[in-house]
Amino acid sequence: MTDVQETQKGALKEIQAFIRSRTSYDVLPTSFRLIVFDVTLFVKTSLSLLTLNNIVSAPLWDSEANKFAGLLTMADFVNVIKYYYQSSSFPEAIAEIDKFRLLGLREVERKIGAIPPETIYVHPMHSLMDACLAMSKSRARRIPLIDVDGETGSEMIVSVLTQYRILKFISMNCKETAMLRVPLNQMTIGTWSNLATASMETKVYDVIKMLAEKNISAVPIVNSEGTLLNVYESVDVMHLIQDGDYSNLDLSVGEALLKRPANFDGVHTCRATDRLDGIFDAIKHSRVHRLFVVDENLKLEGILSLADILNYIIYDKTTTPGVPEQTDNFESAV
Amino acid sequence: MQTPSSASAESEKDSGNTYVGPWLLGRTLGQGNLAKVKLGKHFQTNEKVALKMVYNDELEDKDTWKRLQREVTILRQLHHPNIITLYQVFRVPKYTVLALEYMDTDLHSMVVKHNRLDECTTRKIFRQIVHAIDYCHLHRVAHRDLKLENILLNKDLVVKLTDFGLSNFMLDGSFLSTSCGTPHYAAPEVIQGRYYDGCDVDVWGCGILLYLMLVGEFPFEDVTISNVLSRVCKGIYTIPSFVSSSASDLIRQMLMVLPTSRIKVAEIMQHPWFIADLPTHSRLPSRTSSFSSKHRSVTFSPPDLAILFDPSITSPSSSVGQIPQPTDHSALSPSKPMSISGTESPNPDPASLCYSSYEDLYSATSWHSDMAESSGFLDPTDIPPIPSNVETLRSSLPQRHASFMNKVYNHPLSRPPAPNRLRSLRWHYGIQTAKNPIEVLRKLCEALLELGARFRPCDEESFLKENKYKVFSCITCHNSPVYLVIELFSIGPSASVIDIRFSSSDDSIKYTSSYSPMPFLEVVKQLILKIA
Repeated sequence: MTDVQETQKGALKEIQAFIRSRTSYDVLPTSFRLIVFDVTLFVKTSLSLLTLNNIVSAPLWDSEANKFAGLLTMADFVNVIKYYYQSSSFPEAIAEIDKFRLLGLREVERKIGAIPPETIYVHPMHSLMDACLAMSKSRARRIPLIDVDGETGSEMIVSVLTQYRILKFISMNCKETAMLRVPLNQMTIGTWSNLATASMETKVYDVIKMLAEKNISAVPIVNSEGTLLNVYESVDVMHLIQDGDYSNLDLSVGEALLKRPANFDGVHTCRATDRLDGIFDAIKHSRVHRLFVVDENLKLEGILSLADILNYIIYDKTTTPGVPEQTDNFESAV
Repeated sequence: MQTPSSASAESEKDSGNTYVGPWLLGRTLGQGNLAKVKLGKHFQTNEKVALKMVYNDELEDKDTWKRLQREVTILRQLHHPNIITLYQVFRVPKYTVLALEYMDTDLHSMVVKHNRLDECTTRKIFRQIVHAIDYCHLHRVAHRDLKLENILLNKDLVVKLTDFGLSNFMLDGSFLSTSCGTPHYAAPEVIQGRYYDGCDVDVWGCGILLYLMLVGEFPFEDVTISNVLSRVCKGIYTIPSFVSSSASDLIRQMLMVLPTSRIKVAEIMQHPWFIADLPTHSRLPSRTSSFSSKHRSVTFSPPDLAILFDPSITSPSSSVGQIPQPTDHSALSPSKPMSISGTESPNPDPASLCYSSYEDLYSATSWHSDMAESSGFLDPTDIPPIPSNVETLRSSLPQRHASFMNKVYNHPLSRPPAPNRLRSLRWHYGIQTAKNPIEVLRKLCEALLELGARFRPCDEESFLKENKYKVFSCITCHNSPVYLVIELFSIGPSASVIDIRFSSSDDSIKYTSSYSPMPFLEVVKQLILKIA
């Protein structure tokens, strides 16, 4: 083991100790706004509200049972689109979806055998490590913080914690991130082969199908030479159908990406020689959701997700429980 | 030098050396019911700190614990040469101890000693205060407790702002014995119990401080506290003729009764009095530059220490000096207990102390507001720049993608959709309605009557005058009384906002052993359904 690897190993232990010593509550910003949807809300209305408030997810509240009812994410819409689009009576099915309430959306997903929606949650005052482990086991990218009133036993949604916010919290508070200096091509995190990609001409529905079937949140868009041009993310599905207009599903990816708002920040790339210290620095200063590993000619080599980084931090191993985001093969392509 | 074998609580009768953690206890710098501040000297390095020792018994109170936690959280995030540095937090039997940067004196002692300061000295001190406040606001922290005692200085007149989130300590137990929650510093909107912007309140505090330094007296002074408060709300004060016209102008702009008319921090830094004698290149402060403190690390691990917040332990590097004990109880230190006529308290709710979000409530940029960007703990020159090739893929930017589609696929060039950006609505809580305020008021009273609420409405004419109407109400829910404060704001001829909040009163404490938000939420739901 080299000195750099030894230092990184020691730094990881310090970071793990930091994560264990903090609660999920500590990660929350001083002031934030939380939007909660009742399960009786119409699907069409919820889509408009997500777009209007520029959010991609919201916790659900069952006011009859007076309890938390899971998280609404873009994956819910992706699953429903995938199911109904194959139906020969697609226009009628779409009209039917608009009359659904969010509770009905959940039942549709159950019917079509979609991956069950995320219903895990953690207590805000429990260790931050508990939240990280729960997210890792369930492969969720965000986790609700649910408090229970000691007197009435009622649940209360405090907030929703995301992987990005946890990693930003770590990068802002842990000086040890500056000691993570092993290059990516000498580590075995991220996905480096069997990448799911699409081209600008690919039909956007086919890309959405990829998002659903592979349970991923982004599909890189490359040209015939493998050069990375753009990325289609699950949040882009929201821009596509935000007015309840499902006919946009026939557009090409290139046309669909034109619907992004002007203030979209773009996607982030890095090199195989980059290190986690630089990546944490980027997370601190930019809204990084994932990193696409490219060479000097922007040829796509791999994908590094926030889950990959967080799992590496908390487990200090190359193997993680459950199935990795894209493939079982962790062999480096370099 | 004696090495501490274990951390032990201070013993009043112990004539030998007494240690708390690695600090040898010295004389008392301040005293109160909740906490006391003692001089601490490191057992190895002899460096000095101010040890703020909070009685663990007092921390059984949830609110006290939260306020201490808040102060620690803020001090760990703020790093500025004019803000006190927090080195260490640990717990020993009887006390939870904060090791803070030690300074020679405070502004209160200085003004008492000199009666009033000359303009040159005042300007030097005032500039540092304003820069510290500006830094706080950038990090979404409003101090809201600006007073002479919270401005610490060394013999070179370097200023340190201190006491974040301790207002209630002042109220509860006279944290510093010479200060007893004086209302002389409170801004009009705080006295009147209005919703306010933390920035505006801090500007008012700066105005009081500037007046005190130049004049040697409080601007608002009268024989009774209620008269003082009345003068504050009406803006009745006089600036002596020996104060220069430029300084007088700045004072007047900071002590505007209406927060909207009050000068802003950025404008203070452009005021002629503020920038006098400053070189041209110093007049535009770099508000985005980061500051850092260098600390020398001392390695030790006493077995009894329990690190509560920050695992890193560093030693301070404060200068050696004597802190004079203030003995003069002049008008600067009114010792009369605060007694406010009416039900309003001039201090804000504890929950709103020190934190204040200045982002638009309907920001289109993010789900959560981002945490304040904190600078690193190490000097930037000490860390080699991190080599990084993390970049934005330029072809993924909307404008570039539109050009690409136009060039390659002949797609018509069109502007990307504009981002969803609602009009800014700041400080409007609760329900907004486009109805006439009087009509809303009538509906509100009807709803309260239907719910069988006991309430005492204020005079309708006062609403017309002040654009605000407040109702104190009590509604019974599941045999428990729930006390509400309902405020109706007129924000235009055909726009109103209704704010409903829980009012904790002695009665509510008596009836319910522990407060649950559920009855309050249930009552609010019923009320909203009635009004709608």
